[in-house]
Amino acid sequence: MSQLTLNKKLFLNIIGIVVLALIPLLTDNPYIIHVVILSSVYAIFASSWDLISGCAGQINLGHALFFGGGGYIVAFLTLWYNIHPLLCLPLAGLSMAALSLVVGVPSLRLHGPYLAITTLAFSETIRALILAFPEVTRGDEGFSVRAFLHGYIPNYYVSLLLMIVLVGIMHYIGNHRLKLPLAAIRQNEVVAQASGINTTKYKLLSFLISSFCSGVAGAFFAFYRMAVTPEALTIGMTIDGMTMAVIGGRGTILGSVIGAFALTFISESLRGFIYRVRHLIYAALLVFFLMLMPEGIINTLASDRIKSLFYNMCSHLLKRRAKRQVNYGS
Amino acid sequence: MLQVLIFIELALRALLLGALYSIISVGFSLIFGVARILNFAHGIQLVFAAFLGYLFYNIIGDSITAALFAIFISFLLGAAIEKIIYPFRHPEIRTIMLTFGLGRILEQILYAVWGPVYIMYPLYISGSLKIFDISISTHRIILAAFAISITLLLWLFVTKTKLGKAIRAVAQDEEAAMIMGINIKRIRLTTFAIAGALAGTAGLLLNSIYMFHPAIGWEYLGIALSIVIFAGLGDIRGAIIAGFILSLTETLIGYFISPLWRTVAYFAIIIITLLIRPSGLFRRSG
Repeated sequence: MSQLTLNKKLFLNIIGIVVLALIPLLTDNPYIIHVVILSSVYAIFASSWDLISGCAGQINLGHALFFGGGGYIVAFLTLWYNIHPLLCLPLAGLSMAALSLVVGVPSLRLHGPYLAITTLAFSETIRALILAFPEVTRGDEGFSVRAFLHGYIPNYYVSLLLMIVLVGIMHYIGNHRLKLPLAAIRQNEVVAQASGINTTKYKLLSFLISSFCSGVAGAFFAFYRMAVTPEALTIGMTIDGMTMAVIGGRGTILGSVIGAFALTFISESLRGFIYRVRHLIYAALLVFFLMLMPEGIINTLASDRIKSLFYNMCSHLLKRRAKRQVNYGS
Repeated sequence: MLQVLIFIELALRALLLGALYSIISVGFSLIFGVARILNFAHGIQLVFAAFLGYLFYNIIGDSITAALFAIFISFLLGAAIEKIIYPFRHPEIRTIMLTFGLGRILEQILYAVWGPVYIMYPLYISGSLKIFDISISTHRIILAAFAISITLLLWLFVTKTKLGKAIRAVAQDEEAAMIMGINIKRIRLTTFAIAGALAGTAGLLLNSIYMFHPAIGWEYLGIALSIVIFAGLGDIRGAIIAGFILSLTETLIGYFISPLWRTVAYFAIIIITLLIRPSGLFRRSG
């Protein structure tokens, strides 16, 4: 049975990827392609938040630091050192991973509200530092970055590739490779420690991977937007990613992808006044989901009641078919 | 003479800001003590009250009455936040995200209604006081006196009155307080409401000297957090002292280096305190 569900999940994922890959062939509306690119960048960002805060349970209120930081690294590398853009993406990720060590080694020994405050403080300190040195970082203006891919279609495939690879890695780590230790840490850290799990190692590892992915997403976003501003480091960015992950389902990396696509498509299809208040809608959705559906969409759909309904239906159909086959055979 | 003037100006500013920051962070600390909840919406509540006051001023036309209305509304808002958050306080991570989200909602309501504007609360007492050739704005002196007296009253309220003692009892040990016949639910609701009203008062007073825009609440949240962390979470006396210490630091940094470094300093204080002495500076046993 488990083999069957695994195959089913794989099948659904492959269908999703194929549909996404075919979108440029089906439509030549650049706007839709632009929205899918945005969604996939946000999907990486949201699921990287989900890895550290959903899977490992370490609340991170400063995750935008790694997203915006990746963008700034790209700006510095391309403008000052003239490094090839293709090299910039992994370099941005690696430097954000290094930054995550600076943030993580001291702060991950704290937990609960203290951890939340420290991550928030780190992110806001860096943002304030960027604003405090306008001669180096150009303050509020930010940098303009040379695009490395021209046109929507190449950007589209690169963003899709990045999303598949990075979310795949995070999914593998969060839901398969480190599933048990991270769940133990999330549920009760003291007990996890007492039962011999090196909690510091696993927390740091997931933090490292999460910020690497976030940095790469930020770097790609900087190339795509051709600009980096301190806006990407704000609390609002963190809340947006958090909302996507919470709506999709905390602790299921793939849920954040669904949340990111749903929210981006909803907000981009709005117009006028409602588009102006989209962040209000995001925040209201975050509070609504936290209060009434803390499991998120994916977990609610996969809850036992609905699952058993589905299985009953399937097994009923299968039985009928089996009976018919037996009848034919006899 | 100029140096004396600068010294007096800086001292007055430090006193005024210190009193206002103490008011903000005592509210924050009271909430943490009573409900074990970090209210990340606290900074936005302050800005929200200032915008409400501005709105009421445009309707009524009298700044004192409008301020009283705004403070009353933020009193109710505090109670409403308790009603929204408290049933969902487990697990902790959810509460943190919930208060964060509520703060974002309040901020975005301000954006939706006013847009990205700067406002200043029209409460100004004109005139200046002359002492030995030095003139100081009366507005600041009166404001500082008012803020310091609120801080003193707050301290008396928490230590001397029955309600304040009940709040501290609940903060110390909820079950023991319940056995002593304290209505915990009512105390909790009152504490959130009082904290809201305090935030509103501080917001209106701050807004009569500094301009506010909708997103500045996060900055004041950072200030409140750093004071509360510096003093130790839930320590009310420490929060008052730390408010004055940090406002003095801020004033000196703002004068000698650059006002841009203010935020850096506050958040750096949070990080350093949490890494070196997470229990706070004034932590006593028990």
